[in-house]
Amino acid sequence: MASSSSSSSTQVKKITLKAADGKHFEVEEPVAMEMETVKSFFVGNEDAMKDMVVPLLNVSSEHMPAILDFYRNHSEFRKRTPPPPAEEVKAFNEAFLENKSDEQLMEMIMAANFLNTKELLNFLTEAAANRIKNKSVEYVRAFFGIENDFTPEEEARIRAENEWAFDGLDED
Amino acid sequence: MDRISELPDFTIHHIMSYLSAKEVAQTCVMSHKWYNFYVSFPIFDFHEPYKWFVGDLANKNPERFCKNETIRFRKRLHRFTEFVDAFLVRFSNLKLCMLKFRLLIGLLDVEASSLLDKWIGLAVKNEVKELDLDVQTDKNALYTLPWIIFSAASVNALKLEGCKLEQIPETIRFYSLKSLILKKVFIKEEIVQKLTNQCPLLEDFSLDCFWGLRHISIVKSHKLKLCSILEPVDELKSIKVAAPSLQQLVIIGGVCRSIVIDVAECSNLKVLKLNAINLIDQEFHRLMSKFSMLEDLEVTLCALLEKIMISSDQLKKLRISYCIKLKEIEIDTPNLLSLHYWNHPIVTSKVNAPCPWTLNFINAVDELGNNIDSDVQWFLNMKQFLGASNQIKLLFIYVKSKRDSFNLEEFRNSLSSLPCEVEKLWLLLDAPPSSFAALLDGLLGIGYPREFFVLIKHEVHHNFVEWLYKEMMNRDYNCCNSLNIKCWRHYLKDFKIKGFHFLPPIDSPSLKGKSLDVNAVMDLWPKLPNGILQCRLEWCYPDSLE
Repeated sequence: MASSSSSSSTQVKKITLKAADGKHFEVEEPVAMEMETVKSFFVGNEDAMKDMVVPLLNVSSEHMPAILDFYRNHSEFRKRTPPPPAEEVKAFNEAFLENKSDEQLMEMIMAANFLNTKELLNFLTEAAANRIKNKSVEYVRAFFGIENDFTPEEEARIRAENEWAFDGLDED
Repeated sequence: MDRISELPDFTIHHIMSYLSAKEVAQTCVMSHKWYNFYVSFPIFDFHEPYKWFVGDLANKNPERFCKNETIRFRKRLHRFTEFVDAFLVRFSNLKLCMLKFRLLIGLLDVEASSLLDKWIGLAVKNEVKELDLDVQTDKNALYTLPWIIFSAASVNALKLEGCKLEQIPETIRFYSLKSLILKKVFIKEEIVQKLTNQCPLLEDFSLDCFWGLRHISIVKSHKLKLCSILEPVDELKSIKVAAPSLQQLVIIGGVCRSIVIDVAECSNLKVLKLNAINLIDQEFHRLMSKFSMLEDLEVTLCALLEKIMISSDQLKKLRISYCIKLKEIEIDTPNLLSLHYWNHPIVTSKVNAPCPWTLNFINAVDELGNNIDSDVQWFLNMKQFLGASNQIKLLFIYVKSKRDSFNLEEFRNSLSSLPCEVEKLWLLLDAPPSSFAALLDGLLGIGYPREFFVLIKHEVHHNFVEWLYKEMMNRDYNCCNSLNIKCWRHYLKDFKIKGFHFLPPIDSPSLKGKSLDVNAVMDLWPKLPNGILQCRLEWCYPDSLE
């Protein structure tokens, strides 16, 4: 008892997260708690906090550093007074997306969805939307890796029902 | 492979919410799974100009269509309305909540307004949260709203444009309504009253460009925070707002009008903007005495005001513009953060406002709109006005002088203090070359700028800039020997041209907003195009006169 109360308060508690491929990540507690999935893991299970490893089944270790970096920076942005200038946030976000392939972006959306963090998910979905803006149906299918499971007849029927959607694309 | 489709509807819908209506519509053919995402998408945002919906005909004026184009246009428009109709019917069968229905449409383009009635009905049935209907029509053919809209208990933001609100049912069920914006509407007095006091959550109410009202009375609106009454078309006589929770009130009279404003019970008001209202001094001051909490005040185009007296510890922001009859201001606002005085005449003033000032003075017209020449008194008045400041951020001066009427000698003999520092001085000088020297000496006797922007619009401005450059570069001076206050030449340490900016409305669109650096300016010198020459000056003025 005495020993637990004397544990240093200056040291930030760390939580260990385990990515899908088994790699471990030591993360400061407040950063880890940005993820609802991690948070709910500890609900009613506070004793376990120190040594439990939280398995993140759907997140590959490839994306963990970037995702954690996002949480760290954005929680710092939120706390800062006065709030950081919009350009600073924008610059961080742009740098975050730079060099990320469509495939990697998709994987991160899946990860953000699994980790259940609204801010990251909203940010990534907007980024995905920007990449498919003004693109053809075929492009968007390929972008998301969606297989067209309509028969030609079905597709023709749906196109006819939503004629306006394709107006100006297929000439009259 | 197709892992994205495993995401919850909400996430897919979030992606779709960043796309245009047409892009969203096109997702219907991606796959079975996506068809369902598409059908259940709860946002109907068709607010682009409706012409946009007709593809390659969008850039052409319908009046110039040839016959074939007209047929094509009608056909496409028909497809659009059919599409919206099918979209809404399909969605409403799912019995889901609609987040948003936003539509801009020309009334004549919907065969009958009954189609619009039906769509509003479907939106209300699906508990729409945000309804924004912009009906493009003219005053004589406003769209009469169906009564069902008044039973939209879930709607929290309602915006209506081009509609008529003549009769409404006894009970209004806007239980969730927080924001109500009415634009280009015909509306009756009782209806404004009813709407504002039968919406228990109403926080934001705005009337913009409206017919049919002589009196507006907003009472018993317990949560109202923002209220805007803008540009009445018919003659509005009075506005009464009694809402203790009100924080912001904006009134724009359109054509200058005498409107009786009664806002006695809005003692918590923080922001007040009055624009184009014929208030006389007493009315204005009576109004001001009610608002001890006011933090932000804007008075624009109040053409009858002759004297403005403001004394407040709370006020943070003050803007006075184009009150052309103004003769006197007395401002005691020790906690002000910004003062904006954009006005023609220079007034007798007593100002305690230790904050950055932004100012505009024009000597070219008097309060009656007559052309006048700048004279010594004008310069002295301006100097006195600026003397009360401790920080002048921007000073814009338009000096017009046709007859060399400014007597520099007389001005200098009347000076008793050094000029004050001005961060940015903008100058438009319309004067014959013979008076350049006197006017420049006069201006720089009032304020010395760190940055100097000279506007070049006509031939005479080109002459002035060329002359100015020579004058600034000439360090051989031998003057002011007998004078107590020496001229600016004795204090100028350095003068540099920083660059050149093209004026926003210029002949060549490719140059719009473009700038030239100093090298490019010097390459062209002295043949500059029209624009703004930016210079940087360094000075060595002492803090005060010895």
